[in-house]
Amino acid sequence: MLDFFNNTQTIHMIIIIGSMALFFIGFYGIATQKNLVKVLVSFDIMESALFLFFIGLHYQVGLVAPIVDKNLKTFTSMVDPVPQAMILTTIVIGLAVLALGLSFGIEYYKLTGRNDISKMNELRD
Amino acid sequence: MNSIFLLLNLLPILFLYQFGGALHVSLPLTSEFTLSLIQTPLGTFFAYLSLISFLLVTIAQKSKKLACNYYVLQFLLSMAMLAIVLAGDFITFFIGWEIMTWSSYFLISKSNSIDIKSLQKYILFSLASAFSLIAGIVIAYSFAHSFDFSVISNSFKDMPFNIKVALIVLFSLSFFTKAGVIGLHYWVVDTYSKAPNLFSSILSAVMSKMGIYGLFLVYGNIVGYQELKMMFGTILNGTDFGYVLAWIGVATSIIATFKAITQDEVKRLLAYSSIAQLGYIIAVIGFGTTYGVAGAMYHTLIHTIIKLLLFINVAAIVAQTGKNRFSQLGGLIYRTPVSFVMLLIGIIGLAGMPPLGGFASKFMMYNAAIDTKFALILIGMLFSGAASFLYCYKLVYGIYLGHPTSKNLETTKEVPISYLIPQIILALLLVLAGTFPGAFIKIINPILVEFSLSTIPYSGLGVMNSAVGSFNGFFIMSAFVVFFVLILLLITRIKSKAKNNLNRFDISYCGEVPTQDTSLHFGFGFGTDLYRIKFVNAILKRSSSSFYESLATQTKKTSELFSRMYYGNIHNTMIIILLFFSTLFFIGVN
Amino acid sequence: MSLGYYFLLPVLFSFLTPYFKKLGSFTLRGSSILLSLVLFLQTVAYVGVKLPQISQFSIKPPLGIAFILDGYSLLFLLIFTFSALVVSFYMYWFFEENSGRDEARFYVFFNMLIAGSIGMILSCDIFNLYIFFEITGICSYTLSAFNKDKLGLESGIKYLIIGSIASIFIVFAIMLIYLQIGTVNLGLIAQRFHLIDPKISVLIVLMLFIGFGAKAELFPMNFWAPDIYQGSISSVNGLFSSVVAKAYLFVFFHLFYLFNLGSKYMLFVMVIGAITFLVSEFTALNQTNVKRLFAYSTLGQLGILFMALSTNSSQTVSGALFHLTSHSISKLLIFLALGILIHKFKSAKIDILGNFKSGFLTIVLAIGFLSILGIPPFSGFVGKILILKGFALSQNYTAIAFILLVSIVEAIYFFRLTAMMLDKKRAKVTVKVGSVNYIILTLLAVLIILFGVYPSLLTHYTDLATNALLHPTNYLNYALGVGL
Repeated sequence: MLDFFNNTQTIHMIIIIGSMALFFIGFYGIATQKNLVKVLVSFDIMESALFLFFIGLHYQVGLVAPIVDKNLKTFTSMVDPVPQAMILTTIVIGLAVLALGLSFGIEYYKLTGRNDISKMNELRD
Repeated sequence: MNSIFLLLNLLPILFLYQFGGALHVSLPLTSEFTLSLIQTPLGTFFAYLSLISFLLVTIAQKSKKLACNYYVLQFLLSMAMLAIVLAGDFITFFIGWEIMTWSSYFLISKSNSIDIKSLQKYILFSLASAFSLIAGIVIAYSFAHSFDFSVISNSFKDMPFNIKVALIVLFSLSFFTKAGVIGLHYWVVDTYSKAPNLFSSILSAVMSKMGIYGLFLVYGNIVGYQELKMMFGTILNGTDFGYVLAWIGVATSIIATFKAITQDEVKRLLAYSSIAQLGYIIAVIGFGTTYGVAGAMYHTLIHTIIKLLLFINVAAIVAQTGKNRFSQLGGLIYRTPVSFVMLLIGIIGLAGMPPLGGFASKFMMYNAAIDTKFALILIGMLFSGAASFLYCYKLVYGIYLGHPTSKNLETTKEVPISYLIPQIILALLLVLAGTFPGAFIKIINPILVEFSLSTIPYSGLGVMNSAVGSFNGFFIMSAFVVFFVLILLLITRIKSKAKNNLNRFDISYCGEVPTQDTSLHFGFGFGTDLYRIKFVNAILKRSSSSFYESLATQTKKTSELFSRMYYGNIHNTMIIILLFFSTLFFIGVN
Repeated sequence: MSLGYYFLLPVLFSFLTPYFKKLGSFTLRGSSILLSLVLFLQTVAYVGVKLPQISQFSIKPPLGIAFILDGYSLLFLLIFTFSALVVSFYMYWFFEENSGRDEARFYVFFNMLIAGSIGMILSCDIFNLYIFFEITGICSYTLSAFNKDKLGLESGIKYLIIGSIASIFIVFAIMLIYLQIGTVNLGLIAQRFHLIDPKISVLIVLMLFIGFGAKAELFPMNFWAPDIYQGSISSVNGLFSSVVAKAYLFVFFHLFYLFNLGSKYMLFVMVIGAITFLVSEFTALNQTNVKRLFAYSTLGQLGILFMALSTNSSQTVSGALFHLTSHSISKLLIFLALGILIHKFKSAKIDILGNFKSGFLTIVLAIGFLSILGIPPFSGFVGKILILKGFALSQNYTAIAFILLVSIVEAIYFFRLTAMMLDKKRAKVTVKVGSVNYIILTLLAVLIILFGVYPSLLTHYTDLATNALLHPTNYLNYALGVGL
């Protein structure tokens, strides 16, 4: 019954729709939320959407993950490893930025008791 | 320090003299720019003018204790001017022009009476002038593919008409700003009056002449008077272009003359007078005739001499008394008689009365106007010439005649000799220029050849020839000296009999007895009656300042408007970025 | 020496920083100076070598990762390493004066910032470029928050938020490129870029434009920039102005010409640059904080550079690169000199700073101002006249009139500052300049004058850079691994 899910095109469609939905959730978040933590989370959601989108579009039915083990017989039977490597790196970078942002937020909150980014306006003439 | 820089100033004069017209240097700056210096008769004339002026002013600076950097900047300024007048291409010209701008800016800033507003006025007008110049230069470059004067001049004929007009307008605007044509003179008066006193003489006598040099260069060399005639056609005996320029010059001269009469501050009066005199030069510079060019050139020379003389004289008086207003000065004739004589010679020249050089130059300019049949221009020039007598009179009376307005004026000593030496030299030059005007014909003829105009016939050192007549300066001077000596003898005989024991308060007017506070000095309020003449009142009331002030306000308002965008809300910034992206995306995709 | 050391050495020094800290603050400061010196000397050693140079790691491009140094990146490399050297000397003085500060934290991120900026201009694959972009980004967020006070943290947070947006756009663009072409190598992308569906290609270009444009401080995306400058210390301002912003600008135009977008997007970039120039110069007029003022001035100059670099004419581009170099030196000079004043007065308000009395600082600041305004005989003049000349040759009189008119607005505030410095009534507080600063400021001022009176020194490299930028055939060959 669920055979039609085994179709690459269908999976790609689902992934496109799903990741776009996720992306716009994040988009909505940064456009409306003013709490620094929520903004950072929104960024993360947007990034995750991108990762899903990218990895998902490179998945094809019948191919295995590009990890060298006993299941991997030939290089043609695995999905393109480059996107996965890229996404791994990007995830690490995203994590670093998120951690940095949160640590800034904590320090700032300790100093001022505020975390509303639209009220961070002491830097002005 | 002074002596070192005196020698340094002397060097370029000797250098120039040594080369004797054959200077031709080129120095590759990059693969695209080459700096070149070429000595043309026009450039040489202005070079000597500026170098000698600097030398004389440096002599006068002997008595002031000036820091080394002042002299360095002043020397840089003189070198920049030398670069301007000897430049063989526009890049050298522009580099000289800009160095002149900033070195003079730093010199002006050394004054004690300067304020930020006046400095800003000066530098912004100078930069506007420079930017208009560079705009003209690069536009010319886009057609000629070279910055060289001769190449641009050769390819000028082939440019489209609108580009030609744009070039002439841009260059003229730039040089008009430097010379202080009315409307663009907003910076002149404040700068001249607030600059260091001796430096004002350089500003008025030499730096404004760089504007005149630029006009000569563009009209005479780059465009050429023949080309001007062909471009714009002729009216009466002159060119259409010259007619418009003449009206600009005459208007400048009339308005500035009236403004000068009503000034109370000595240096402001001189500044307006400087604008007025440059107005004459600009009036005749565009005639495109031999006598127009000769008149402009001669007046350039005479005005340089006179303004140096007057500014040095006034600087000496200000240094000696500490007063710079007519209402605070007066009666100095007994205290500083030599200065008085020098100033007298200066204003006789300024008013254009025979027998001094001022007469010869005015004679040339009026003749040029008659020659081209620009009758209205002639009337305007005569009118402002007559009106200029008033401020000349105010100058001599306000400072030297009448009663001293305060006690310490009565104990003032004669000004230091270092101030007097340049004044005496300049006065002698003025006398010589009046006595031997024919000598000038020899200087001007090569320049006329350079502009491909007909030359002036030379008939003796004392004779000045022109299209409609001639005069013998030597004869006039001799007659004058004879009469002067006779009258002087007569007066001294009479005066020795007169008794001079009156107190300045021994008078009463309208039944009132003047007190110590009443200003009896004639210089006080001199010229305010002019406001009662409707025509003059209309001139005096109007001022370009309101326009520039509103421009400044507009700029400030724009700035406030723009800075409202940068109010530091990061959330809105994000949304703007996202919206910007979406907009671009929709535009781009469709 | 392999080009990889440009990245490896700073990273090594960064990781060794805690160890250096144990050895004492002199070693810590000295190590950074040593590092910058080595990088600078290595760059100088590349002058005169046949370009481009390539360093490949393990596999040969287009499959493997490689660093390529061509004429264009050599010019920027010289600017970056020189700026780093100057700033590291300056920081020696800074930490002598502020002994309680967290030096190690600064040096870790300072070294990494240099590594990131250099990596951005050397890497020939767009994903690596993104990684270096992020490294530069993270280091600049941290450096802008170096003052761990309210203002510093605020600027750090703001920079981080903008950086995150920019990186999302860039990641998206890279993913789209990979999905369309299946490669991240710049050479292959450049070769196949025209094969992409036009709608997708517009999207990719726009995303890259937003990503790098937001970081390179282009107009509708630069509302954050003055805040960042205000919140960070002035040596970091100097780095932002002369290294970081220039690195993003480098990438922007590198991709612009590699992907051959000139014909389609030239007018757009030019107009955006012009608006940036206009708005920032007008806004600068209204500032009372000196750091903000020069931030706006930087934005304005970047506007001119964007205008001139997008023209695709070798004359203008060469002029723009000259102007860029001169602007980097001048802004570094100005920010470092202001840093001395700000340290003395503990304030960045123009009214307060104007009270200083120091002949040396007045002269060097005036030289910096005049150079940025493009007044001879300083280096800014040559750049500006070359740009104007280039525009004149393409008969673009609107651009000439625009640049000159806005330059007058620029002159208003520069000369207001100059008049304040020269005002004798204000000069009250004598400021002493330490010997280190004396040397570096003199060096910068001398360079400004030297490039002004003898521009051939620099035009050689700007011409090389222009040639490499506008005709990237050699670069593409190397990036594709042809003939390796």
